[in-house]
Amino acid sequence: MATATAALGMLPIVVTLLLLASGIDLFAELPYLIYIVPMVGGMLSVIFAFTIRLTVEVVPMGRFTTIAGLAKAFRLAGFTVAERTATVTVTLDKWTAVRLSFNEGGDARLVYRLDATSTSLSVILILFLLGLSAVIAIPFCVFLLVRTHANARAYAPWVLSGDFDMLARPGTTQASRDIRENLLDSLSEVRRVANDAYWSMRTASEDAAVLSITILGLVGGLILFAILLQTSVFDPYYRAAASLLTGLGIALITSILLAIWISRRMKPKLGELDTWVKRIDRALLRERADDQQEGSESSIELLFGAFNEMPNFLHARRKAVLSRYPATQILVLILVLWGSSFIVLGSSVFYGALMYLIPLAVGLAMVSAAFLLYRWSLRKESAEEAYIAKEWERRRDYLRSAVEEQLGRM
Amino acid sequence: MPEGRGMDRPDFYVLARILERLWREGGPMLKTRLQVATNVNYDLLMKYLTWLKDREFIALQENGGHEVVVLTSKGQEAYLKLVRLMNEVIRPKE
Repeated sequence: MATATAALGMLPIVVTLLLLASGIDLFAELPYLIYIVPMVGGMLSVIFAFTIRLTVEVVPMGRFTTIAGLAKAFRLAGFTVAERTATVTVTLDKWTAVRLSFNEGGDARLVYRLDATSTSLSVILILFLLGLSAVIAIPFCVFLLVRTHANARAYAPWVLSGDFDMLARPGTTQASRDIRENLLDSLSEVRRVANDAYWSMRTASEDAAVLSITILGLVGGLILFAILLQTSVFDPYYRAAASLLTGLGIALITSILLAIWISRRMKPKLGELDTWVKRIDRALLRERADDQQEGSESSIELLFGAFNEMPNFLHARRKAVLSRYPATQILVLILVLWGSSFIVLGSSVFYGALMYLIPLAVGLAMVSAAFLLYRWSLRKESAEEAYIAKEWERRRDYLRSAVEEQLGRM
Repeated sequence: MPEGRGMDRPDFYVLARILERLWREGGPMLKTRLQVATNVNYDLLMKYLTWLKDREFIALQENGGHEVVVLTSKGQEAYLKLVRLMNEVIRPKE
């Protein structure tokens, strides 16, 4: 990621240097600079945000032990963790991920740097693809850094305060430690999947709403603008204001209708998923604290229940097909936006201007391509879901027969 | 102690719940306390306890005029295996 970001960031600088070396008067090319400056500023901020290393703590333990311990502690806490020999990458939330490693100097300073999540990466890509908005990458990177720093500060004391050896308390037998470790590991995994399902479903509904509102508002405004262009209304400010107001009006009505629809359709399922996450959270807290009160829910039974729910959790993630594939999401968005602009431009063909047939055809092709791409993503996701469902069915059968065999044989 | 009739295929949820509760107790547990803790009907609990005792997963002992239930080492091993199996299917090791 850092290499890619650095390479991406170096590109405009290299281009600018080449332009200067070729003798082009950059000041004469001011209109182009309007695009270049936000791009370069945005890219520099991205490079800075993704390469700066900040200290978490001086750790008096061995490097590899600490990295392994951190990976384990975060995994048991339900985070998605990618562990390598000398680094561990933890996805803290939808926006931020951190890569923890040791300072390369002599001291044992544990440092972290920002790592991209699919969401943050797709936002950065969209900002750069839309040209001038690249400048927004600067506050966005500040937001990512502040959020990551706050998260790292919040989690560091908990991770480094002895939770490393929470499974090795004195007086417990190896079997007891094994049981607790396995319970924690399983609970954290089902928690991760359930939480992922909850957020996928929530994000999917929000994404669909934002996308629909934007597209409908934009298309509505553009269509009215195109109609006004063909009428006797010549005042450009009137045309722009009327189109803008129409677009905003359509967007407002769409957002209200969608909010009602989403709330009615998604709320029960979201509530169900939220209940699962909270139940698993409570079990995780109990296991970590080794505090099982009389009448508290059985962790193993909760796991059996959650295990049976896993296909449903995974199915919920399917709803967020676009969020799961940010590159496809961006492409669909761009194709729809550009396609609708071309269609509006090409609508002049209905007034006899045959030369507008080409933009109309291009626009229709782009919108069709967006639709086909979206359908392809859905099919791909369906195939993956069918495979996962089959795999979980197989695991369920295996568990049933293995339990019967174990208990019967002993 | 009632006979463990009709327990050819015990419910694993209930079995796991009983084994877990006994494991957490870490020592002898009164049957009535176990019943409350596991939220199982008393008669049904007796059937399960018979089933578990037949397989030496638990032992029943006298303690101050009350019968208490103790998880045996074999029972603890069985519970560990259950938990491990669950972990194996939830997070398959690469």
